Amino acid sequence: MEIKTEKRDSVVILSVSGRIDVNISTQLEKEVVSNIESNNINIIVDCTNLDYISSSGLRVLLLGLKKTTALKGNFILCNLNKNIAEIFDISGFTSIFKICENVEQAINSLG
Amino acid sequence: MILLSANFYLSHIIAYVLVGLGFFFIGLKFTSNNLKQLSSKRFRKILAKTTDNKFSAAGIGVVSGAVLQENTPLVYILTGMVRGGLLTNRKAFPIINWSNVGSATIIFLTVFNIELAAIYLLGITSLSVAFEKPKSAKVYFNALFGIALLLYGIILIRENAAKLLEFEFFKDAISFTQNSYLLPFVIGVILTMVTQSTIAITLIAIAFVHTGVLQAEQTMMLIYGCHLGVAFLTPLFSSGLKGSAKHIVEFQDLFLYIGSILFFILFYIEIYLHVPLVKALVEFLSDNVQTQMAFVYLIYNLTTAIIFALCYGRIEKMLNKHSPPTTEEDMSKSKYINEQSLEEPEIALQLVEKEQNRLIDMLPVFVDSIREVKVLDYNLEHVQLNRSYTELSQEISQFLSELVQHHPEPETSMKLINISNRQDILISIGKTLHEFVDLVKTTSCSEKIKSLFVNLIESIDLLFLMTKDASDSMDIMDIKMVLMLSEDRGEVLEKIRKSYLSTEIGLSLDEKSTLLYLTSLFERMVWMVNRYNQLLKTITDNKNAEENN
Repeated sequence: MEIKTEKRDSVVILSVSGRIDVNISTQLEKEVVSNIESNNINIIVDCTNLDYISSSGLRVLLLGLKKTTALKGNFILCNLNKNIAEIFDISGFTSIFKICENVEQAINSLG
Repeated sequence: MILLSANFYLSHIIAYVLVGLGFFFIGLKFTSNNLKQLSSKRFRKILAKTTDNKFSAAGIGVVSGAVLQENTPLVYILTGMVRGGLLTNRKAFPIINWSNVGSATIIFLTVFNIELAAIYLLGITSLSVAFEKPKSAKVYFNALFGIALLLYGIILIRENAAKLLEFEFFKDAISFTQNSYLLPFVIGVILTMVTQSTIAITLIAIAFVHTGVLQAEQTMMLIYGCHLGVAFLTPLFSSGLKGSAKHIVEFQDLFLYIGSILFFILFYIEIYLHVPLVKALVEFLSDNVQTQMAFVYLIYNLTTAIIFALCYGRIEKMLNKHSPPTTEEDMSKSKYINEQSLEEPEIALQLVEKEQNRLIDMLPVFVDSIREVKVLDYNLEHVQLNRSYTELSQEISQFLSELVQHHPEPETSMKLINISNRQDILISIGKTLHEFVDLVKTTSCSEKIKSLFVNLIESIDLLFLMTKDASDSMDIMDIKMVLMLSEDRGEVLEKIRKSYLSTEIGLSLDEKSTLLYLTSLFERMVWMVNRYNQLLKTITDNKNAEENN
C-alpha cells in the first residue's frame, strides 16, 4: 500500500492505494494522528485506488473521525469503488462519515 | 495306558485353568463395563461436589478405586472432567492418588475363602441376568454377575494350577525361574502390557503363589512389575492429550514409576542386606501367603499414595513445567473470578467484567481463523476456540448464578442483572459467530461472492474490536460510536441481498442459500453487539448520574 499526502490550504488529502491490512493500518494511523497533532483537522481520504480494507483499517478511519470531530474538524471519505462502498455500507460507515464522490466535492463541502 | 490317562489328566487341568482365565477376564470386563455405565453421570456429580476438601476427595478416590478396580478408566473420566472444566487438576490429584489404594479391595476380597459365597452369587446373578429381573437394578446385578464370574474364575485357576505341580515337566519349567527375582518382575511388566490390567495379573499371581507355582518373593516382584507395565502403556492411550489435560495421566504414571522403583530397591535391600522391610512386615501381618501378597499390593499403593499426598503442589509445578497449558486451555480458564470474591459482590462483579472482556478478546481470534492470511498470532481452529469460549462462558455464568445467592445490595443487584444480561448476549454472540465461521469455512464459493464474505467478516470484526475498546475504556463516546455502527442494518443488507441474488450475478443455488443464511447471521450479531453496548451505556449513564449527584 501507498499513502500520499497532499495539502491544499487547510485541507489534507490522504490518497491510499492497494490493501489496508493490519500492518499497513499502523502506518495509516501514524499518518492520520501526526496530521491531527499538527493541527490539520480537515482530512479527506481519497480511496480511488483502494482495493481492500481490513477491520483494523476501518478502525483507523473511525479514530480519525473521532479525533477530528472532537477538534471540530472534518474527516471525509471520497472516490469509493464498488467493493469499498459495499464494506462501508455493511459496516455502517455510510451513516457516520461524510462521503463524497470526488476530492473536489469533498473540498467544496467544507465551505 | 498310564501315559494316556496322565495326558488326559493334564488336558483336563489345562482346560479348567483356561476356563478359569476366561471367566476371570469376562467377569472383569463385565464388571467394569457395567460400573462405568453406572458411574458416568452420578459419579461425575459426586466428584464435582466433593473435591473441595482434600480428605473427602481422598475418600472418593479410595471408594472409586474399590468400585472400578482398575484406575485407568478413572484417569480418563477425571481427564474428561478437567477438560470439561468441572474439575481442576489439583482437585483431581487426591482422587487419583487414593484410588490406587482402593484398588486393593478386590485383591483382599479374593484371598479369603469365599468359594461358597462366590458360587451362590454366581447362581443368583446369572438368573437375574438371564431373565433381566429386577429391571430397576439391572446394572447392579450385571456388575455383581461380573464379580461372581471373576471370583469363580480365580477359584478354578487356584484349584487346578496346583495340580500342575504333580507333573515333572512343569516342575522343571518352574525351576528355571526359581532363583530369579528379576524375571518375574519383567514377566509382570510384559503380562500387564498384554492384558492391560494390574489387578488381573496380580490376582492370577496370587492364585499361583497359593499353589506353590510361584514363590512369595517372586510374586512380590511380579506385583511391582505389573504396576510398571501399566505406566509403559500410557503413551498409547494419552497420545491425543496436550497441555494440562495430560497432567492426571502423568500424575498416575509418576505414581507407578516412583512406586515401582522404590519397592524394587527396597526388595533387593531386604533380600541381600537382610534389612527387614516389606517382606518382614507382611509376614508379621499374616501367616497366609495369599493374604501376605494382598498386603504387598496394599503397602505398595498406600506408601506411594502417602508420599504423593505430601507433595501435590510440587508435583503440579513439575507437571506444569513438563507439559505447560496450551493456548486453548489458557483461554478457557478464568483468570480473575474465584470463590473468595463471592463474599464481596461489588468486587466480584468487577472481576466478572474482566472475564467478559476476555470473551470479547476472543471474538476477533474467531474471525481471524477464517482469514486466508492470518493477522493474529493464535494458531487455533474455530472448533478449539469455540470450546474455550464455551468453557469460559459457562464458568462465568455459573459464578454469576452463585453470586445471586449472596444477596447483594439493591444497587449491586441492578449491576448484576446488567452483567448477567451481557453474559447471555456474549453466549449468543459466541454461538452465532461459531455458526458463521463454520459456514464460511465449510462452503466453497465462487469469486463472485467471495468479496462479500470478506466484507462481512471484516465488518463484524470491526464491531468486536470497537466493543472491546468500549468495554475497556467505558468511555461514553466509544460506546456511542459502536451504537451508531451497529444500528439496524436491515435495509442495507436487503439491498445487498437483492443485488447478489439478481440473475446478472449468476450465483448457484447453494451460493444463494449460503448468502441468505450468512447475512442473517451477520444481522443477528450486529443486533446483539448493539444490545450489548446499550447495556454498557446504561452502566456508564448510571455512573455519570451518580457523579453529578
